[in-house]
Amino acid sequence: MKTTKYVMLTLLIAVSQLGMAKSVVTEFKVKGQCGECKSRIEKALDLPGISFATWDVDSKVITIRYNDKRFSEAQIHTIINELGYATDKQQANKTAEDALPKCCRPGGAKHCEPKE
Amino acid sequence: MKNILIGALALFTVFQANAKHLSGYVYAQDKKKNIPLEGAAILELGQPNGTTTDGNGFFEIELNVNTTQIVVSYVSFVSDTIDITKKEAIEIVLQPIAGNLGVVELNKRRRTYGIRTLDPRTTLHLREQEFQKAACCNLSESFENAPAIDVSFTDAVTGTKQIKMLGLDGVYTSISREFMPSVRGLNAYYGLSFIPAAWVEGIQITKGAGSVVNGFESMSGQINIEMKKPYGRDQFMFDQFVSESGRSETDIMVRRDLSKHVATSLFGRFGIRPNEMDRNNDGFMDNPTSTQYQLMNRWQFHGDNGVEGQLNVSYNKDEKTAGQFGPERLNPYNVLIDNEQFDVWAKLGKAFKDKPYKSLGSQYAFNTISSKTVYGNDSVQKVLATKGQTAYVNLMYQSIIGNTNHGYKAGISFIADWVEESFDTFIVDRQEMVPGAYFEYTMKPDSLWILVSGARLDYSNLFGFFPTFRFHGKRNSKDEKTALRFSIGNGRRTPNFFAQNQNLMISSKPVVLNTKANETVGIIQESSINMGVSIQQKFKISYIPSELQLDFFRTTFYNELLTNREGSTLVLESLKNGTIANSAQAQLDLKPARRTELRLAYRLFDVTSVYNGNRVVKPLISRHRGFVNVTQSNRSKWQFSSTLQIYGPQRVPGLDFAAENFDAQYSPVFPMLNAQISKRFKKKPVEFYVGVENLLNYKQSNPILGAANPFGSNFDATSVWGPVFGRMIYGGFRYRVKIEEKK
Repeated sequence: MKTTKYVMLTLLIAVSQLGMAKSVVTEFKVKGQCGECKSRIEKALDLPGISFATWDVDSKVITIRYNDKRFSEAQIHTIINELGYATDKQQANKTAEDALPKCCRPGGAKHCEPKE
Repeated sequence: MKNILIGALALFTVFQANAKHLSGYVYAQDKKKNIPLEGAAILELGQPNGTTTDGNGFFEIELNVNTTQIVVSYVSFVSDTIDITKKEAIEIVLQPIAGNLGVVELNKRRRTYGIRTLDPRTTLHLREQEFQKAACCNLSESFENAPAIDVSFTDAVTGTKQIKMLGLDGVYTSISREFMPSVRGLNAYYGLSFIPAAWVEGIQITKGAGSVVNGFESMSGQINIEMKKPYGRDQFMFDQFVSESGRSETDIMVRRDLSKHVATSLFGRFGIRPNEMDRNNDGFMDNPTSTQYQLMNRWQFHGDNGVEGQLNVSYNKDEKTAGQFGPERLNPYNVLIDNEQFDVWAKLGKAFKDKPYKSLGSQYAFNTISSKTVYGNDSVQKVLATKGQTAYVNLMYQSIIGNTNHGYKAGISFIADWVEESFDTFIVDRQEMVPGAYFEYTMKPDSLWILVSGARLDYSNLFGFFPTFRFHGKRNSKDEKTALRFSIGNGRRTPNFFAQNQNLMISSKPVVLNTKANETVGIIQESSINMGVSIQQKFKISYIPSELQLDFFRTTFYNELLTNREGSTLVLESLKNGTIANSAQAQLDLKPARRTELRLAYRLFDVTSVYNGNRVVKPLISRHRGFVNVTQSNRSKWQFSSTLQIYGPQRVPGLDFAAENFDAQYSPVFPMLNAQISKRFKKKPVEFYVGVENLLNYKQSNPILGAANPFGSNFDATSVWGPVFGRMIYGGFRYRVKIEEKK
């Protein structure tokens, strides 16, 4: 009985991480080109209020879980734009885009390092 | 690519007048393709500055304007010193080191724990961060968060922990140090407790029989321990651990590059347990008092022409006093354990720069060990003494047949053991020399399959010729999300009757040796076959990346040294067709948030053997085991980790073969909960941690039978199925100076 209580407690602690304060999960496309862009994008989204951000190189889809009291989806698109990447809803900040390494800019995919 | 990068980076250089910017990619050459290397170290020559490559092999570094060279290095690859004057972007391809004689692992993703999808064997890789989640201090205590390995107490007196894999004792796991035999033979019993966790860089755990290249002794699995190397980013280390029982462990390491070609490191450890504590009031100390000293010196050499060498020495001395408590007690029952060990080992190899698939390697080792354990007191005592030396040589050549889809490793090895064991009035001496030859063929018929077949033939002066076969296969799915593995192989080892059963002597039961009529007492060869399948599947639960692993292994023994303590004596007998161990594991790993990890595992063990002619469940193994771990960290580098293990009932030794169901007794279900909080600092290279083991304070009641009269006939401290001492609070720090990144 005591054991079950502690199993439930541990699981609750874990699950509570998932259920805190109105977390929203969203997916959209980010127009990055290659693996290098992945670390840049995910690092830029490492902010309080965004608990999860993973960008898939092949599908170009980013999956984000964030607290909707701290961010609106448009704000998240803007953060990515300020980094230099366009999303499927908003344009990239031109200056930032030009400052990216060639392989990360639109059309730069051919400059990416070989895929395994 | 290079020119384009240079052009793009010209923009950056305008802003950095005092430094110059360098970026680029580091690859490993494999099959004429380049695989990005994650975690390769880029060091600025002449400055305490460095960085590492990310998941794509990419790095960026700010260098002093006067710097002309950088050094690029990665574990098990030949380091490269590169001239970077006038360069702003570079591509570097590293060659694998010869003489490593092991699987060259290229990690695609930085994880502290994981089975890499490229590996044909069911191998689990643990990095430092993973075994730092456990309380302490040496490897016998570090596996508490890896469901693949079980850690248990051997007895209620000496505090020694032993591991089990696939339901079988740790002696059946081949434990190697950098792919050289290490914890085996006379060293098998205490060996893991003499490897400080702070000295270890990573651990690879393979279920099922390992590669023929590393020998014939892997029966249930293989554990390979990578120690910290002289070429690495750690410059200086000072770790300190304390626990509420007064236990203190200190580890220190210093590392130096002596030249472009030579690096060295020196490790020291001092451990002490000064206090006598008896919290369960049975008259016996819960833990022994002890002192331990360890030293290790490593030298590593990188030549320019692909020649690599290593020379290492280590020394260890450990003294423990366990047993009855209290200075006013006349003639207490004590267990005094004295261990001393000296090791020297070396590797020499050559890689061929123009032919990265070809290499020549050699390994050499010599070890001497002596151990004495006294059970009892000055007037009434039994002594277990062991002394031995081991010499080992392995030469290997690696190349391809036609193209890189057909690779092979071929070699010869020699291992010799000189062993003297004595217990009470028994004496067992042996000298065993085993030369052997091996061949392993790796075939990749297409991009989804890998098949590894190995065979070896060894000749022992005691047992004659014996063959060993190992086969491993792996198939990936096209999307690389599913991996199916299977393996089958046989293994053998020569057991040490007393050295590997030291804990069982802490009882009043007389010891009986039961070997067959045509066998020399003390000389038998154990042999078994292991087969297994496993599936690894990556998927998503909603948006959460998850991984499920299912595996099943079966080990069947054809010959073994069985310890039978069901009756009133402790019988060590040679048994044919005895133990059969079936083990199944299901494990789920989830990452619901950037810094949250959840792991759940369930294991089923069905391990039986033959006692007095009856096949029954082996004692002191739970049939069902549960495991849950939560790890949560945050941006300020706080980390919380907690593990709950649930142990199902275990059969307690002592059967009445005349009764129904042999009157088997079982221990209760019990939980073991550990938790730890740690904090790293951004500005200073130090980490503090505090934690508690056995938070629920669960104790096995009366773990020592006949504790009131240890010299009587009912004394037995070996029927231990649960924790002996209760809750333990501990804390410490890790001060690690690495070559830091300058940003």
